[in-house]
Amino acid sequence: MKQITGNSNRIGIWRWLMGGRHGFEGYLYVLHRISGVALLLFLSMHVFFTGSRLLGQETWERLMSMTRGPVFVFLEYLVYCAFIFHAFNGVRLILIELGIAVGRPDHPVFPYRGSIHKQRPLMIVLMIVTGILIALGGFDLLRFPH
Amino acid sequence: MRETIYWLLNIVCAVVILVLLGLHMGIMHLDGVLAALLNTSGHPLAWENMLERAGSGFFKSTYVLLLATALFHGFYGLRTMLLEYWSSPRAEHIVTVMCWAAGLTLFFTGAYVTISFGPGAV
Repeated sequence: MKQITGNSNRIGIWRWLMGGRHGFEGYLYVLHRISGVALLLFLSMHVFFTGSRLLGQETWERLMSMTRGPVFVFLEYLVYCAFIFHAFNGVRLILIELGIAVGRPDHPVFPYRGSIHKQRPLMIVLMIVTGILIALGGFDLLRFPH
Repeated sequence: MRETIYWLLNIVCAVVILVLLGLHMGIMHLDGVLAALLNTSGHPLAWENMLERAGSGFFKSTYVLLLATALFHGFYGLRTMLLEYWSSPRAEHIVTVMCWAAGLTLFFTGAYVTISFGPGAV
């Protein structure tokens, strides 16, 4: 029998892609981590990028003109999407952490109903809100291009 | 005890970020929709609009608070992930010190830019 040592219960980076045993919530877990790392990278660059305004209006406007290309605008939209997803999935995680919307404990009577199923309506509602806000951001981008 | 404090701070920061970054994203990324709804004009990144916001104590203080909370939340999350894959007392010490160092460097840089930029500063 394989002995469990150290961190052998971790799922590993490649198995993030499998979603684990938790179905859709498993993918949300993976996306939450990916979006979190992406947002941290963006924030680090953002701090130095916005610092260029201390060099004056001309430098700032030259830098801003570089950000008006379609690739940059699309990347900016991805950052917006990452934030919206991370925020609303984060709300779900905080509510679950606080014991809200996880259902009451009950007897294990067949057919078993796991906690994941009790949390699912909350996940569906929050992901619909996420989808609406991401669509609204896309509408803003297409309707009111900078 | 330290981990409990970190975790609690992480949750508190998440709630603060949700409000402040929501506001920031609304101003920066839904500006077209908001301008149409609120009948305002001007791009949020236009120099004059930036100067106007930089002259506001409300914007300055919320930017610094947002920066602090976002950096703590982000580096706490990164530290958690790194320690899942590389955990030993020595690794924990190294990762924690590096996250604090990177976070504080970014915080002081960002806070300096936020506080020193304003009408008459450039």
